[in-house]
Amino acid sequence: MRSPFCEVAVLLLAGGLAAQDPGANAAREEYAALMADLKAAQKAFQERLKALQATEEFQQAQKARDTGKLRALLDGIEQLDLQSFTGRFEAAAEKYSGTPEEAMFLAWIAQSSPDRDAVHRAVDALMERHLDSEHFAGFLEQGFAIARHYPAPDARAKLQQIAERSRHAAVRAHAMYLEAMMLQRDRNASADDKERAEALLTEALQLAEGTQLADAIRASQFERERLQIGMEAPDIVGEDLDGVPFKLSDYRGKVVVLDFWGDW
Amino acid sequence: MYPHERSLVKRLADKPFALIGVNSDPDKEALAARLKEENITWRSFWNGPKGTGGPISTKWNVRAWPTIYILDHKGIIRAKNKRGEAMDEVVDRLLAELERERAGAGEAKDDQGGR
Repeated sequence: MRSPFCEVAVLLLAGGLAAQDPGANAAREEYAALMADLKAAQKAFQERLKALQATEEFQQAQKARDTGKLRALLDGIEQLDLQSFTGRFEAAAEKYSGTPEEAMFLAWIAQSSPDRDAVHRAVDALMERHLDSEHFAGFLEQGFAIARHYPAPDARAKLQQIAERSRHAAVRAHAMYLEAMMLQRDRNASADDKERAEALLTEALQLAEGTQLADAIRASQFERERLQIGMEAPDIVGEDLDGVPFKLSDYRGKVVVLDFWGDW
Repeated sequence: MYPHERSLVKRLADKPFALIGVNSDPDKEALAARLKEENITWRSFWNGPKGTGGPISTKWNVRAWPTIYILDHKGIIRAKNKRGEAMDEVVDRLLAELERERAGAGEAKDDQGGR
């Protein structure tokens, strides 16, 4: 049985919060409206793309594998104008500057803007004012935007600063994880770098215990330690598509192609 | 994708070879129809209702589909993500290796028996 009291309490609480902070609500509404506009623009762009792909000219170029022609045709349709959205998100960030909600707009710019200068401004502002923000954690969760927009040493320095200065566990854990991934993917990384990457992952794993990030860290460690060429493949115990249990090791004695696939 | 796999499975039908899938379609019922349509005969683990977020692909850190591992007869990982002709090449090489080893083991036995 659900207690009606709880619902009343929740309503009162929500009403109380809204009354306390009308600015925050306005910012959230503005963010939602911007995202809705963006979604509509993305949809319109997809439709233009579809229409182009349906033309004979496009299909012929595709058949002929004429990449120059295809590129020209793609460039010929009206693009999704992320630059103008960058301006709108920047204006909103400016409007709510200094409030916690500013971070929502900054996080979008840092994540999605194609404008490198705008991204740098947004990352700087996030690092200056929102190191402990949920929105900053959400931005880092999305992955490698920082690595994309800065030369590797600068990106690593930023991630180190974030990990050192933030008090938000998810922010710190993601910054450590991202730096470790950068080190591991760097073909020129030294033995010290590899060791540092391991240490970062161990620390990030502790901070992120119980979250998706912890699963991702475990999986990447499993891949490094158990799934390299020359290693014995770990067994898989499961069921086939008819629900019949079987094991990968049932096929010992045969050469096996193990294919992670999906019908899409 | 499917045509190459079908022809590989067919070509090696009487060899010590198996194509084993880990299928990440969340809807098993819909998939059953597609298996028939595409004549997919090889066995697959099912990655569960979470699809690409299922337990097997998560544990194996699979983030791109398809991801391919090629194992020799001892279960050692010998190649990753070889497709098309490159996959055939590795598989044929490992099958030849297996045959050589079996022939070698046979000879060794004979030698011992002869002594």
